Amino acid sequence: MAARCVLRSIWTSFSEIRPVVNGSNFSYLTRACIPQLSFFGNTQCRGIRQVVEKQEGKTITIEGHTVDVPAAPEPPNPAAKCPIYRWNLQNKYNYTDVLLLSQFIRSDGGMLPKRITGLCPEEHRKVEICVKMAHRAGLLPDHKPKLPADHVPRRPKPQLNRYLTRWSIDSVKPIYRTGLKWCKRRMPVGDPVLKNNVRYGVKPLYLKH
Amino acid sequence: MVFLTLSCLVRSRGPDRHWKVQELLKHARHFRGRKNRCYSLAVRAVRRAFVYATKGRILKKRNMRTLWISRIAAATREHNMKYPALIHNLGKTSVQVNRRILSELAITEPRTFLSLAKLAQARREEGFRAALGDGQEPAGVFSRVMVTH
Amino acid sequence: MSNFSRTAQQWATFARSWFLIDAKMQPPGKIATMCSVRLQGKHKPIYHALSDCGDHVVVMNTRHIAFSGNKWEQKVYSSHTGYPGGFKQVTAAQLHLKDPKAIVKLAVYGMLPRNLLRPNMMQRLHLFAEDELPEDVLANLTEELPQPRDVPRTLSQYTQEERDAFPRLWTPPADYKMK
Repeated sequence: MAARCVLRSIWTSFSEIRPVVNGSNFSYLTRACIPQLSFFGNTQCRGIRQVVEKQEGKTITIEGHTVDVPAAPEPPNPAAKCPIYRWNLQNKYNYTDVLLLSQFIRSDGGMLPKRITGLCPEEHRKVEICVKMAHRAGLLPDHKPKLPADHVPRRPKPQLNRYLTRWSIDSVKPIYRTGLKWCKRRMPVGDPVLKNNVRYGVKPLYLKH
Repeated sequence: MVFLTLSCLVRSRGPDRHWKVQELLKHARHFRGRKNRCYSLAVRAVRRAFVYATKGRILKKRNMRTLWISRIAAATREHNMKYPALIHNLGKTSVQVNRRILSELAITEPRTFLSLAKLAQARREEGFRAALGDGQEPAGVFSRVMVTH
Repeated sequence: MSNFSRTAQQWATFARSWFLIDAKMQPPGKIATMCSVRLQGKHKPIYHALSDCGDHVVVMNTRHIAFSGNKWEQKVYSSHTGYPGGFKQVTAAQLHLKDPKAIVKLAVYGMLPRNLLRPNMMQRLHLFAEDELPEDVLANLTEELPQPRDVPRTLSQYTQEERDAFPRLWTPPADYKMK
């Protein structure tokens, strides 16, 4: 327990620690994008900090190192504050770009606050909608809130494949009356926020089926 | 007509009506039901049939054209093109083959049709290249033409 | 006329081929468009509406189709049993759980022309809920058609190299505790 208290003090410099007792006396844990269950929480999502664990005799030393970020390519528009504008990615990402979206979410799948990420409010909303659609399409399978180990779902949900899902699954009701021909109730597909996205096709965007 | 007695001559009101009826029933003989033998029913049916025939002569041209187009479209898809692209570019290359002949070529002479499709495809790419200028796009522009070719 | 026999050519022209479509993660409407074209024979230059020149289509993995939007909950399939009060309405999810082939079947049925040949064309459509096909169907297959929708990769399907190659758009501040 004392070890945990000591560790808690250095949590300010690095977030997560994985106390793994391995057979080897020196284990070097690099980060992984996939969160893994551990005592203290999840492993680090970003590749900037590492946990170094040494075992000398009976004492285990656990240290956190902040690793230098490898030199990234220079963004085309470095003056901008918003990361999306910095890389000129406005209207160029969609729910399928999980590598982009996974940088803006926590390990349980929620959005990081925009005061941290620096996204402007419009882009934050777009990224949020894309993340939602990616979750519903099952594109982020490992970013889910942790359930207790003995959790048993009351009713097992059927596995139904979907994509471009705008509303949450439990909130929509079936359209029993579609209405008359000139005022039909349509089924929304995608989100109108993303309607300015760049498209390389001749087909018009069709949001209401 | 020969009448052996005077009464027969009086009773006969001439041959015209009989032959007129036969003339009309001739067109109704293949109809179904009493229409093919009863004059008063047949006359209505035959008149209706002639109206349909007149309309059908116009419709036939339209239907045949849609049939040719669907056949050409099917043959064009085999060569990874679409029907509008083929027809438009054949017109550009002044190939004056109409749709009836094109569909017959697609059925009976597939290699001729393939050469025509290749011709249209070449013309199409030439048009794309011309639209691009010297083949280089201005910086920062990413067009659909670049994606497809 | 040469001694070339036209019989073989005739047989080859009007022989029915068998197409295979994998419906995994595909929208049923797009699957149905491909099916209806092949079932009618509209992909052949010898097409005629009355000549019955359509092909066989085998659709597998119909249990794993994907609907866009919220259609699993919103789309409603209606039918009437013919008895009083026999009007039934089920959502797509309920119908799919009851019969995993029904959605694709109804979609194809609605796209075929409404004439007397429609039942014959439907008989040439073979649906399979999973990807296990019986031997006699496997023996007949001639061609597999490409999937109409390209399935996006999930995050776990990207390799570590691809993730590292993707540029990091922003760096969190050093004192931020990342969850």
